[in-house]
Amino acid sequence: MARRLLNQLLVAVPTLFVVATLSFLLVRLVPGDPANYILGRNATAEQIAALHTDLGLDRPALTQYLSWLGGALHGDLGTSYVTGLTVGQAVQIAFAPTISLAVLSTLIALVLGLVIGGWIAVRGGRWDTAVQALAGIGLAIPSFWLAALLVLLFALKLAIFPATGYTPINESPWLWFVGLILPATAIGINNFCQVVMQTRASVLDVLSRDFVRTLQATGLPRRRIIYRHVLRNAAIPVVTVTGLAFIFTLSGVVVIEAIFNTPGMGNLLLTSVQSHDLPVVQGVVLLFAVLVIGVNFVSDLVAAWLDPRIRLS
Amino acid sequence: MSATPEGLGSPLRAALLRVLRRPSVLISLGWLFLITAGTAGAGFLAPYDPLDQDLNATLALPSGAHWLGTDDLGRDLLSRLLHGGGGVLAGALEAVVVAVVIGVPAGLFIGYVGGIADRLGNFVTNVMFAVPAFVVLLTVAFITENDIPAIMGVLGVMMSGGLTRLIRASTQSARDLLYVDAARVADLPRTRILRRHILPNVTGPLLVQTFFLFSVAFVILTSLSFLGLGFSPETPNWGQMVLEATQRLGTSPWLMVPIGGVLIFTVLALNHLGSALRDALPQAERSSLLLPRPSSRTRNRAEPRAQKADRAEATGERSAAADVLLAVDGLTVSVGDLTLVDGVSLTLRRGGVLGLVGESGCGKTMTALALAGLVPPPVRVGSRSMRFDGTDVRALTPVQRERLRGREIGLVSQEPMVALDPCFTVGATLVEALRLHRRLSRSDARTEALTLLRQVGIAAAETVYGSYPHQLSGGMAQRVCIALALTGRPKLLIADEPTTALDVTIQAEILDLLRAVQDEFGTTIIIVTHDLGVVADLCTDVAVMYAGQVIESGTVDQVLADPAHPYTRGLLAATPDLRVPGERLRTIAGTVPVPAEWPAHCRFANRCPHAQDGCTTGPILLELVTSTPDGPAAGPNPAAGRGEHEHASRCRRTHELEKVE
Repeated sequence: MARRLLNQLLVAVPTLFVVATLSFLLVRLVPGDPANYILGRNATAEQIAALHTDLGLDRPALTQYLSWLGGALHGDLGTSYVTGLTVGQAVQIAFAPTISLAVLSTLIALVLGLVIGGWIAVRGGRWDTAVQALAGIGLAIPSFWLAALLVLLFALKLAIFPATGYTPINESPWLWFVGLILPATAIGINNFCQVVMQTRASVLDVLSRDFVRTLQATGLPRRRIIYRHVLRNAAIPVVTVTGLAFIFTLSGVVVIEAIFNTPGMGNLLLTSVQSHDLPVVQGVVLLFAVLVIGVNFVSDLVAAWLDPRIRLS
Repeated sequence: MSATPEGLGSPLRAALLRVLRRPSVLISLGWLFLITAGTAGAGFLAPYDPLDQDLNATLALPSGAHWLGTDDLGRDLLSRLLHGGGGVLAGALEAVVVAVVIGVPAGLFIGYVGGIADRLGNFVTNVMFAVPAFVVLLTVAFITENDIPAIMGVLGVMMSGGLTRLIRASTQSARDLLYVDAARVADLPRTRILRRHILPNVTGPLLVQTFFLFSVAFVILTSLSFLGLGFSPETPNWGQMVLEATQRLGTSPWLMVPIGGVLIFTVLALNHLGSALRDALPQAERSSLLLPRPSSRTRNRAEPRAQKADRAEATGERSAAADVLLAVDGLTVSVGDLTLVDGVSLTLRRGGVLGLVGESGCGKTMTALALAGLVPPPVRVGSRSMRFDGTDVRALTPVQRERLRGREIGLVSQEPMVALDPCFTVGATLVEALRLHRRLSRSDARTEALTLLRQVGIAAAETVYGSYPHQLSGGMAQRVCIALALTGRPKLLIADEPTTALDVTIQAEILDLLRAVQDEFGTTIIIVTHDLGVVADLCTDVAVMYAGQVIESGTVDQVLADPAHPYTRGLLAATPDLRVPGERLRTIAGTVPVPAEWPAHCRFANRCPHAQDGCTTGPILLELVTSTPDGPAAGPNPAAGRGEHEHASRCRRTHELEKVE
């Protein structure tokens, strides 16, 4: 087990390196000169040249890359062209709203999905059919369309939840939570349905395994078999799906944060791409990659914790 | 899996045909056709120019002139929908094509070759997974200044990672199929093996995945265009139409409806096609083993009046004698119209070992599970009477019936390696059962579990106690299963082919263990087996089953020394340990008919060397065999007076044949 985790960490390093390199290349390909965006249209050639020297853009690409990489290794990802904040600061500010949104929505999707998916699998019959159909529809609803609908209904018409904005959790945990409900619902509905479907399939699979018969023959109460044995086994593939759902959520935040005007990483990415704020774009892409790798690591860890066959291999 | 080595094998074609019969699939296909044709023919199908503004009719609700209403500039929504789909649909298609073109060959290659190529491929897909696709697409959209083909190409590349993994996994499992091995040994060219033998096995999962990928690409593309990226703002487009609708959200929410419906239906149709096809692909069909909640189950009523033919063997109250542990009469197991076990009657003395013997598909296991109360719906179990330890089982409430399991009747199943919950240690499983049955404290339960493990012949009890099932050998796991079955100190232990899955050398040990259990605890045992050698070795009584019926029963001495039924004789002649030395080992020609084809007359007649015309005219009863051929029982037998030791056979020629041989 320890070897397995160590192995994963060892693979994570080159992966991050490749992602960092790709993100550097990607932003260099953006057409147009950042200096023009920063200085505006009336800048003189001298001003632009001075800024180029300032930002290091006059150096060869390879030198720029190496110096950026060197900085990144020390945690220095450069300075935003636009705001003057270091990339670290900018990303740090944007990190909390995004991670709040992603964790909250995934957590709700996981808990509700496990309960409902497990319930319909054991119960079967008409409820099973109905929930399956609903989950199929839920899976097909585009999050941005749903977001608009939720805003219309709960923010504009009923005025229960705020339509936009974000309150940091240390200011007011309640407002933090209330502010996240609509975006988390919009972004989590697909994942929730995914977890329902996966849990259902997984529970049905476990119910067909021989050990269920053994436990029944041993005389364990049905409830105990379901909660202690079946759900535990069924949760293993669900963990993997939840990890993927979390990553999917990270992709979705760009759209959802734009709709709810959440000052998160999605919005930061969108605005920095638009304003040619290259260091920030690189920093955000890198942070996304770190998050994805971290999530995969954690979901592997949880799966191993649940499944001794993985743990002891 | 029974995949055929040839081309787009019939399993896939059969799955496709099966899927196409489902109405929901036809509706999905119809919808996709509708939007494809609609957007392709938007030029002359659309009632208006999508850009035509009618400022007298802005934000109109559906009407005869504008079927779906108009937007804030008075543009016809239906026309905009028709014109706005082409871009996203074509874009999504492009991404899927790119993903398939990259992912399939890459997956086939690394899956087939393995080694370094595999590790490298794995690393690349890991990198692709580490970057959220949307982040890259956003950047690409800016770099290329909203060049849709380029954006979708990049999306295709990013999606190819997942596809590569899927194809790699399918390829690896196909690579290990026997006929692929054979092709490799035969030195066929690698490309030919990949194309002819492996690709067909990959096609099913690929087709399924293609639908899902298309739906993902479609959603991503509409999200992009919702953000104002990718498509020109002048021409209509589905993502943008959502954006326009959200801007008028407060005043005219109707705008959200048509575009929302189109998006949801499209994704729904794509997902549905994918999952319908996935469900239709050939796969091991396994049904739930979970029994229903006892409160929701009605009383264990008799099957609607079992066959009259078997009425003669009703044993009545007589078998309730004190030394009889189990007496079941007319046990029937059925699913739908299909009868799997047809009127089986058994009587079991306390401390006896009954062998339930027959070929596969004769209903032995079903009988055993039905006796243990372990057959979940939709399979139904019925009987004319069932008495266990002096109680009428059929009169018990469901909850009382449930209490028999584990405490009165234990089970040892066929495949020990999968019979234990893989997530719990042997110790945890035993302790859980012991605490339930004997109300022990945690530490007492631990001591007792270790004692039990030693009792079933496990010397390294401490080690096994802390082990997980996957760390045990088959024989060890079976010993643990026997220990688990003994936790409730059952009076009856049902062992369902307990040695079939084990190595030959281990089989004898497990049989010895069962014998020891019988000796030590006085447990009565029913052992299901296809091996008459096991019966001779272990049992006191035997019931031979064929096609859902008991065709011969009696004590082991009676049946093995003097078999009355031609089927029993055939089995004996085919058992290496029991045949007469020097005689050739024989086989019984033909196979057991499937339940749907069980005839009303003698079920063995078509395989029987002694069958006559008379054997196929009507049902055959189980009749007593008397040791003297000229005895009084030549006619139909008044079986009601029969005791549990009597030798019975279901053959109308029993007595003639005895004379013959």
